[in-house]
Amino acid sequence: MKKLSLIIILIFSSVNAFAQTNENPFIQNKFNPDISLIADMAFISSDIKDESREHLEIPEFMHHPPHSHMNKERGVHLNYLELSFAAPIDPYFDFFGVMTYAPGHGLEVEEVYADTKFLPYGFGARLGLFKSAIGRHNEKHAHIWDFYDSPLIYDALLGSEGISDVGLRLTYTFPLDFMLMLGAEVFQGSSDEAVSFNADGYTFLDKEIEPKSKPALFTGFLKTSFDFGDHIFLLGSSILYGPSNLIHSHNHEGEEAERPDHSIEADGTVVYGFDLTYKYIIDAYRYVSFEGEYLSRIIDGTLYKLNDNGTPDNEGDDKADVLALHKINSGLYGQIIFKFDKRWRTGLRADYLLKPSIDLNSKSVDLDIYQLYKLSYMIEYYFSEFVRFRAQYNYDHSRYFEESMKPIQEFIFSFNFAVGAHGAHAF
Amino acid sequence: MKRFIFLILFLVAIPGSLYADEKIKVVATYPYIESIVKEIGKDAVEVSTLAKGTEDPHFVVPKPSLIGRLRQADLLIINGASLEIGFIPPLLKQANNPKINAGSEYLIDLSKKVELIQKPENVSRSEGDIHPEGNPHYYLSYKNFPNIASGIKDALIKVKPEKREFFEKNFKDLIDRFEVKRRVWDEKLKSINGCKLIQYHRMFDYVARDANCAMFAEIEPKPGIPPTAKHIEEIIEKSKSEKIHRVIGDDYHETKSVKKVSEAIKTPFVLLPHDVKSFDNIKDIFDMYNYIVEELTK
Repeated sequence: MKKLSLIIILIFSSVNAFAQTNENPFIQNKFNPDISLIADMAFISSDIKDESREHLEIPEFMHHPPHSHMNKERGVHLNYLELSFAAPIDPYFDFFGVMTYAPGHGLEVEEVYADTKFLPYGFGARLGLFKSAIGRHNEKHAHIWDFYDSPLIYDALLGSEGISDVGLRLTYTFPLDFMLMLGAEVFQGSSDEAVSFNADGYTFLDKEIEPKSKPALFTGFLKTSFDFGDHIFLLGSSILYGPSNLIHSHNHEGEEAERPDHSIEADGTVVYGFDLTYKYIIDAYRYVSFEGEYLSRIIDGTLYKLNDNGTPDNEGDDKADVLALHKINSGLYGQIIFKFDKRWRTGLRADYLLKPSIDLNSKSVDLDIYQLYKLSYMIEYYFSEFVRFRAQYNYDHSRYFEESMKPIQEFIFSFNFAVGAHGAHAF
Repeated sequence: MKRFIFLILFLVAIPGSLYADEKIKVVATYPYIESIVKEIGKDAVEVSTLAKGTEDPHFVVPKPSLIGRLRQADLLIINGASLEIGFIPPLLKQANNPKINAGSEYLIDLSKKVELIQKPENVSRSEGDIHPEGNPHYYLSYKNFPNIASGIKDALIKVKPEKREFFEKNFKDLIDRFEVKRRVWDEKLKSINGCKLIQYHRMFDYVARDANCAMFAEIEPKPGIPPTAKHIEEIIEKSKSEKIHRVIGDDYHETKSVKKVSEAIKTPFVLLPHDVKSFDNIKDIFDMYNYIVEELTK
């Protein structure tokens, strides 16, 4: 031990000795990337108990609350601390990386990718782990969301963190006087958190589900934008295609593993969507904007269901019922944001999930569920571009608790701040 | 499917022939840059501008529609000194145009052509929206005009060297016209030589320097931070024993506190443009300089 401390002292004193010499001719700190830190905190008040929240589901959409950094438990929370890095790599590539620390989730690499900047004719490529550019909401980081939580249809079909995976993106921007961009992505498509797309194999009762060939998830999108004076329009359409090897368990963190009661296998699940953003610039500081998005998922595959004859305690005897499944889930959201002062914004969002259509063995299933919707209102105050306070009220009429509708009211007060060199955000 | 692929290939292959014409496609970030490019480039250029003259130049909306124009641009001319840092980078990323990406030779930063003042010794956001390079509103000073214009002329020549004579001639004509006006402006500014001014934002410091005047105070306590009642009271208090020539507001900030200070210290206020097209009657850069000098010396 003594030896070790001696060595440490020696090392430090030698470091000091070097530090005292005037200039280090090999110093590289000018090459350091732009680094920024963003912290997000919230106070939550809700009329649902934390123990019950874990068991909430949206029937035929979502079997348990999504994996999210945005805490919904009552009380005060640190949601996440985001550390981002950006720098040119060389004359041909730019680097971008985001690491997020969230209590309960640990440190995660959220994005890390290289963008090309040498491709001619309007082509661009991105390589790495990144958020897909499909839809309008998907690519946005949580700190620039207009509301505390992601839209309901995203939670249900793409997960609250959206599609974020390892892969390659290619985009082409047309040489026109307005914006027209075509893009395609290929992703690995395997994830533990998968809501719609997963290529990994798994075992369900007596069935062995084979892994699908990877990379497995393909996307395509077309975006266009034009403006008439102070009226700006952005429209997009997107499609995702990939396998759905989905196992639906009701397992929750810290609980004893509950047995899954059904699973899905489908080779070519499709999610498609349309989005529209309109912004009217009133003056240097005020605007009104509308954003709306529709997403729909079509699963054509096989449903494996726990055999009714099986006894839950006796695993060995369980057999799965095999049924042909055709299922369509769709939903949309629309929001209006009004920035009425340099420091103030307010907004209203409505989420609506359409009644799913389900065919089992080519027979349609009659679903007896409520209208599923959610309404959110928020008001924000910015001390500067770097500090934001937001108060949000949610009325969520989409969740079922123990087989019956449980409308939830939430009040959320959140605080977000950013330091360091953070890149500008897109429109 | 095959047909679709052909369609894509066709659209991709077009750029050289169908879309292109002989004009240099210039994207300017602000209207004042557009105004000078048009004077020197005349019919050899086609200019698109990202910001409007009435927008806050620090917070321009990054309209995605502009991506198409950046995609086709031969030249991107910016003000620099971090004024565009909040809206240019995401647009450039999506435009996929290697000619004008950061660090490329056809991205022209005009702030490199002039000497910036108020370069902070320490950079901290506790000082508000400060620019590490110095005050970015250098273009409001007509004394910086020859350097800015010459930077633009050189950029155009770089893109089309065969038109060198044309651009040189237009530049010379422009400078000749400028020299005539400059003598008038110099003369006028002599009448306020040595005066003290109050401004809303740190915007007209270069103008004050042209007139050999001093900026006595800013209504914003720190750049980008809106004034508090207490700060306004302080300005009024310390201005009472001074002879202030004018209280200067601009076209996009609130004018209530400008008027309040002006009334309290019994000094007239003026609203000055921050760019070409800030007001309807400011159609080009000479209109802008003229308006500023006229209003300050009236």
